[in-house]
Amino acid sequence: MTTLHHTAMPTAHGSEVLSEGRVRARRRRTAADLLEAAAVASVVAVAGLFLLDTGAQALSTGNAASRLIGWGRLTGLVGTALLLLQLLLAARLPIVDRTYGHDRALVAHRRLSRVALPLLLAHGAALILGYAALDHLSWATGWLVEAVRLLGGAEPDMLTAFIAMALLVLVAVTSVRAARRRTSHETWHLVHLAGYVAVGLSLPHQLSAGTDIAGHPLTQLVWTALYAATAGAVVVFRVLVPLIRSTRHRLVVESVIDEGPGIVSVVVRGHALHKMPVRAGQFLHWRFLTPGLWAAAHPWSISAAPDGRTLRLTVRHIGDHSRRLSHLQPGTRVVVEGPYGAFTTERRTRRRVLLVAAGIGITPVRAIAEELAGAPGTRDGDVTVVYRGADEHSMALRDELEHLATSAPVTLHLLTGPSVSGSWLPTTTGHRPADAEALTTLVPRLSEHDVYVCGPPAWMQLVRRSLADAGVPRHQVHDERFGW
Amino acid sequence: MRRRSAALTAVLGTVALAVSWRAGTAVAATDAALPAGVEVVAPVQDTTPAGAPTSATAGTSPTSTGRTPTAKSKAQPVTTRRIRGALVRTPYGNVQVRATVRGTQLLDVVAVHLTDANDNSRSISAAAAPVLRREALTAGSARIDTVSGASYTSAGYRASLQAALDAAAR
Repeated sequence: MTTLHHTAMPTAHGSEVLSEGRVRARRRRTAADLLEAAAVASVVAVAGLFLLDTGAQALSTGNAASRLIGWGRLTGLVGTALLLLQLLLAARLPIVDRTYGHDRALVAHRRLSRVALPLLLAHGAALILGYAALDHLSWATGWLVEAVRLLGGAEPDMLTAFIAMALLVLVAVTSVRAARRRTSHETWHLVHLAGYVAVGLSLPHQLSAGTDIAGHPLTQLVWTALYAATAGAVVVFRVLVPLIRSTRHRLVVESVIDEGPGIVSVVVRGHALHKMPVRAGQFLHWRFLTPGLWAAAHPWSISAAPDGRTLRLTVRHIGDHSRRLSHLQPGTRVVVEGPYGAFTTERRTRRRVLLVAAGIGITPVRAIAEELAGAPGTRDGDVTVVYRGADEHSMALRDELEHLATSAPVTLHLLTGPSVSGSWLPTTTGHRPADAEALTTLVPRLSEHDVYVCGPPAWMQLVRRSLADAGVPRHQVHDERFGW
Repeated sequence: MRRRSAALTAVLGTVALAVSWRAGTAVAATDAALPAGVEVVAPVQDTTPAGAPTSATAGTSPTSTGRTPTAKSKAQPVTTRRIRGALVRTPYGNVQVRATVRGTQLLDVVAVHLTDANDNSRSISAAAAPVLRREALTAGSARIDTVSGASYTSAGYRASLQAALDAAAR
């Protein structure tokens, strides 16, 4: 029996599940559960302590005005707690990045704003209307009179609170999709930083005019903990870590390579780069300290597996900023934030890996392919790259991938042709089952693969649909969303 | 989040909020007469100074022991007491009054503490206090009207004074 079992091993090997990958996946799910439970608990604690204290009375007794004020207090507390969670999601906490990936954390950040902002607007409106009613002002003009009265000093720290609200609205308005398309990344980013100012400016009125925090020991404790955790995370992971990392590695531009029409690679070298915890598939926020470029940091994936001496990024010109990269001089200092992203082989749970990329989404895929090709356990047929582009001449890094395919156990499929509506493939009938079928033909034993997908969001959606149709379990599909 | 953890979190969160609501409204039920956010946080306190003359009925000694029970009840001494009313919490700060009573008759009332959450509430309560005092002394009870613009101060004042008068009647 034992012998039989052992002889059966090699054949089972091909579809082998990588147990470390499974363990890591399980740990990630546990971490996700704990993080989400902690987030819910913090909001419940804030709301529960409010209700316990005087909130339940305020909401359930008294006249319309005092109830309105009660709701105003509650929405303010919960809205602010959610706002702090939003900041935590964007604070580049390593555990958040490892668990969800930077892209998904930012999706959650965005979704939370759709709850937090309305709550905070309701907070302001309810309190202004509530006070107006309490002062027997008319509904038609009372809100205006009351707002002026509040700003005039009827309650302390109202000016900063009103400014904070206005800043939050500004941040939200510049972030809706329609506005994002018309604003440059630099402007948007600068405005977004006003969000921190808003959170800071809102603090005084919470302690002076607010009746639910100061003087209520337990609420004060929860509130302080939330603020301290957020401020600490932002300072440490958004300021200190990038600063220390950039200082330590002393990154400079080594060379700039023209990769064809509209595509440029930048090679950056640095000190003790083998000690930077960067993996193939991740990205960094790059800031080149040269006139015209220093003001903004951009997220770009590294396009080659890190070799411990240099990092390479490959960029397609989409704005003035990226166009200026081609004129970078060797020796230019570089400051980075990162690396970020969970689109790495950490996520791998299967021996076989399929990498699917379109357009400039090839950059992290190219790095992962290189890492897998060089890994000792990789065998023929383990790694497949499917690369979708308009035509062979415009496909970035095509030569390198072809070289990889001839020298290493990597199978490469270049799929070229104009985009087809409703399909992620160039030549299909455009029907949904046909895409899945084409992919199954292209990649034997498809469902035994871990699949890494990177490309435009709409295109990735179609790929994910095909993978699901072809029976690839969802937990084996990993993607990186370029939200910019 | 995995389905089971999500369900557990949802249940625990809902229970925590429901318990908070029940506990929060239970307090409200005992203070049904008080508006939202106004609650009694400390009971009344008899602060009659120890050495002060407590007897206003001259010639009788309230501490003499030789009296018959009937005589005692008939000529019960009318004492003047200073009673600190309940400490009442409002969203704008605590309110507490001190009532001077003879028997159950209200002689005087002064504010020990008034709403003072901020400059605005301080000025509101400073303006409202004399009005409330005059009304209380005129009515001889805690049945006083709310001073417009100072609803919480008025409610607190009423509640604190009523508690003091209740104590005096006991």
